[in-house]
Amino acid sequence: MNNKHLNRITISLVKSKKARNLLRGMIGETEHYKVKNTLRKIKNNCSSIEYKKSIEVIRAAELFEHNSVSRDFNKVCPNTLPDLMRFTENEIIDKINSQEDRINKLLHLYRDLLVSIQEMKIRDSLKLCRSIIEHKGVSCCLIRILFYIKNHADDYDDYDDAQEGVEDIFRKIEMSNIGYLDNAIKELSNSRTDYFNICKKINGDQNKTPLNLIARDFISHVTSDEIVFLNTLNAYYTFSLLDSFLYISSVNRLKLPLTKGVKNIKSSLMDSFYSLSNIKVNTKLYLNEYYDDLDINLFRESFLLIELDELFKYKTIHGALYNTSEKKEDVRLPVEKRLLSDYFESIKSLSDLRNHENGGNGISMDKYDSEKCSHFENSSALLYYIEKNDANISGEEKIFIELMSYTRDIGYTCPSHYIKKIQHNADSDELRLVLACLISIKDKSQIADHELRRVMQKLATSKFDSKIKYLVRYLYDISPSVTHHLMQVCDETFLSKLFHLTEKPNKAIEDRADMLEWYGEQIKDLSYIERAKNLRIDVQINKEKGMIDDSRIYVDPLKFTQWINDNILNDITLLLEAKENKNEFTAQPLDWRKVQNGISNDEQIASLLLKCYSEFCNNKLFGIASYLGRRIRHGTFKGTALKEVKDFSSNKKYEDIFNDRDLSDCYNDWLKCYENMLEELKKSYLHIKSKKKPLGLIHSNIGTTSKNIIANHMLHDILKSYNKNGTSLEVPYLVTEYCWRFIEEDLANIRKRLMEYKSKHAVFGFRLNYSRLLKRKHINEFCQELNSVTAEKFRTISSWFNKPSIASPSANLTLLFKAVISEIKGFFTLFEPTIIHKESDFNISGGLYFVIYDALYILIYNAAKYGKENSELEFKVIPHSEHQVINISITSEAKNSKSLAESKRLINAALNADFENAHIEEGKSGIKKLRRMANDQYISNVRYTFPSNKITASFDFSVEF
Amino acid sequence: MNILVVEDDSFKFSKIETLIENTLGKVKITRFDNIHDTVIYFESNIPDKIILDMSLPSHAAKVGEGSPLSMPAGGIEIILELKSLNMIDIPILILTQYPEIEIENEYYSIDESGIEIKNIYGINNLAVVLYENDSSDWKDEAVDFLRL
Repeated sequence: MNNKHLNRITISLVKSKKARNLLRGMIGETEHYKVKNTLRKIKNNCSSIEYKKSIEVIRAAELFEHNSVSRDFNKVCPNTLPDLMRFTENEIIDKINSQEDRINKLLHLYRDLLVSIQEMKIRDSLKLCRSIIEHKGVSCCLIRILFYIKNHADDYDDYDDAQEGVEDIFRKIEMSNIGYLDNAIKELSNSRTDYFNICKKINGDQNKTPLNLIARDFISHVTSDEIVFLNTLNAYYTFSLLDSFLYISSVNRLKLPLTKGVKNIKSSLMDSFYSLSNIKVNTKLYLNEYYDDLDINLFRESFLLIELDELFKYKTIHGALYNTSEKKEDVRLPVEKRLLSDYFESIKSLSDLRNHENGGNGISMDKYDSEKCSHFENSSALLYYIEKNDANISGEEKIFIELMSYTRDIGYTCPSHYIKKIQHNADSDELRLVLACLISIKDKSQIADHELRRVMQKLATSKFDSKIKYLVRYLYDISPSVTHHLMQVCDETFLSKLFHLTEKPNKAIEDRADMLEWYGEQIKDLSYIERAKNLRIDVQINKEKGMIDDSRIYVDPLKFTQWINDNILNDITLLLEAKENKNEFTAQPLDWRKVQNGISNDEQIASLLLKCYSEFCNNKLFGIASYLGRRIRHGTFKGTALKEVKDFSSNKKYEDIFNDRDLSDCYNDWLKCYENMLEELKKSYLHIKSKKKPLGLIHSNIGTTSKNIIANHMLHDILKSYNKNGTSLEVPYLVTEYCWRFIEEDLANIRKRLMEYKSKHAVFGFRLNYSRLLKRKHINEFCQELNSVTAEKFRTISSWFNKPSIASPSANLTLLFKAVISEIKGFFTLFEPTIIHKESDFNISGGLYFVIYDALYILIYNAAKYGKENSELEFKVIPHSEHQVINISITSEAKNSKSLAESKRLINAALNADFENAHIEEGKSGIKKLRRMANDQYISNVRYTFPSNKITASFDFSVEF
Repeated sequence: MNILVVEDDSFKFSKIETLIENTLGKVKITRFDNIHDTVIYFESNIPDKIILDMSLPSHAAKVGEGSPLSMPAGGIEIILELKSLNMIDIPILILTQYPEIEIENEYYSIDESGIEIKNIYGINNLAVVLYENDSSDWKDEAVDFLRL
């Protein structure tokens, strides 16, 4: 096709009359869906050649300039068609050549823009962006560059100009047309989000729209697959002609046969590309960032400026190693191998890697440098070394362990067969532990979990007096990162399963509390210390319960909220923190069936919330699955429904009835049918729906409109809570509450199904004319009693599928009071008060009981320390429903009048003192802390009165009656 | 002969106990009703045969000591422990009340589960039988196991 022809594209080039007519109807059309529908008609009714011609026409002819679907050159982002175009490489190259001048002009502008960015000239950069737009040069490339500017706005002196300038341009080029790509770029380059998770979502999207293919190319720009190459080329071509040129030129640097067509591209264009790609990267832009993250930040942003050779090379080298593929080595291209061996040339042994704090920090673009590298480059070096030496690290085990603190994500990025090989040859128990940790990161099997526990127990028993907490502390000195990992792994469930060390369930909670407290102190994080304290309160409450917990309750609220804390909360918090402005805290309604593949900030939060709901349903130890399993597996369900019903046949009272063969046969047939019905419910319906249990009535997804509405409310409340409190502490309780709302629909369906089956199969009837010998009254009595038993049984079973009254972690006030007294007795052996408990009790749920425990602790501790021994201690609980508060008071006796006066003085002083630092410097009495709690609105109305020789301390807390 | 029975349901245990006595006469029967005690037992004992329930609590339930974990696949914990102690030749009879067994997050029928457990955990001598209070089918298979 000659250039002259291409430059003058008109409708007449399309041979099909039908297609021409349809195209004519589209002239001047700007509505996206109309253009889309017309193109679909052409595609369905004309040949593929005619369809392609039609696409060419609307992309190039001026008559279709505002078609909004696809143009060669754009002033705004195109609202691309979901289907991929099917042009060959040569067809696209022909079009590129035909627009040589225009593309060259744009390439020069882009070159100037990239230079200006590296020189940190923000105003010039934004001016050039606007100029590119004027020249209809809006492209994927421009959007990537704009994100780069936005991400580095902090580095410019005129930060506001950079931020506002970019946002203004985004509005102008109608970024809303490419929401998917906008989110993909934002999340892939955002160092706060989970990189592998975003990659998984993008790569897992089965729709493979042009925008998805472009996003996939952002993740991995290296391909030797011709189909992938051609599809991606077409995806870029859909966006703009310039993008298709940049893509071919970029891939050409891999020197693969699939870009053989590049030789046909006009040399002036390739010269312009080389001139642009040679621009040096200004790594100073990264050096202000957090010491250990600067190189990963560069890597995550490298796709934004992938045209630059240095970044292309950097991404090629590290991208070949930093991914979760188990077979990365097998698909590696010769060019990657060469780049890797060149980059890591200096590594001869593990000691050539960085295994200590290094003075400098920097980025190594050309060669790996252990003296200045941060964790990311060091991780690539370790992966490279393991590969190169076929996992042989003999004599270097200690260094390997140390390296865990100077690398990142090895558990995800190192292929399992290498880890297992190192494990097989390991000499030291410490290394075995590290490797068991690494294996368990990806391998969630019971075998891997058991192996990790086995190694930990062996080490703790042989070297640490069977104390897991001492093992964790020891490891901190060798590798803080391994310790950090173990802190995440060693939740109460895990510790409970260390059977050689944990002799009773409470010990697991105590050990967890000890570990959290110690670790919180090490890393100066108060939230760990707070969680430790709350766990200890639970242990104390457990001790005072005086009864064995009925584990046959629905979802264990405490274990579920702890699971959220341990597994999900950090990720949710990071996403909440990543929100840039207040507007983002107003949740837009989502389609929760699609959020798992969604990549916007809200969709990612939603996806994590779905994980919580799935765990709520599926967890075998504390979830609904555990409850169903116990009810069904232990035979409770069938036993309850069947036993008394079966006993009828041996009941003396009805002996004469069963002597009647007709009735006896009828009963036996009915019983068989009844049993089959129970079996069917047990086998098929009373389950979480899954591939194996497709009829299961509990759905662990959000598949109905009503659940979708509830889910949107949940997201709204979570955003609101974080925005209001600045923390995500309430999130686990909100999630628990909403999970119960989700499942209510399924529970109602189960109850309905049970009642339906009861009506169909649990009512026994007998035609009296079959048995004239028997007395009508007696038979009626038998039927009535039998049916009344089945009705009662089904009512009981049905009641199992109601939301329990206590769905959140909870404790009643008397129990809290007893637990506090018991704990304080441990400090003051002579403290033996006579307890006077007045008025009502009250159950507190949703985590508030930790606060009340704290407040009671302060009051009773003071009574024990300053009050009269063996005196009366009065505990009063007075609900004030009109104010929605409960008043709690503790009255104790002073030792004598002198002591009362001194207590008065101390209390008044504490009540009037500054309490801002109460959580850091705890005073002797704790009264400051009490006031701090009031100030934080956990409690209110903190008061002290002094009736006769007594001291009464009281406070209120809000409840919903 | 020392037969270890790991079973938390007393009624079911009494039936197993009677069956053992009727089949083998007076033999030593050791019973545990939780995983912790069983694992500790293995530290210094090797039973000749094991009859194992699948769904077990982590620890003994005692007042003031907290709630034991209820572990639906607790029997697998015992099997993993035997594997790590290399006691893979002890004959094991899994006597479960549920027609499906969870192994590595997948459910298998009684027939499939025996093969899976052998393959995954390397247990050499294993039988899986469905226990039903009202049926005597399980008894025949258990007798065969005991007489082996």
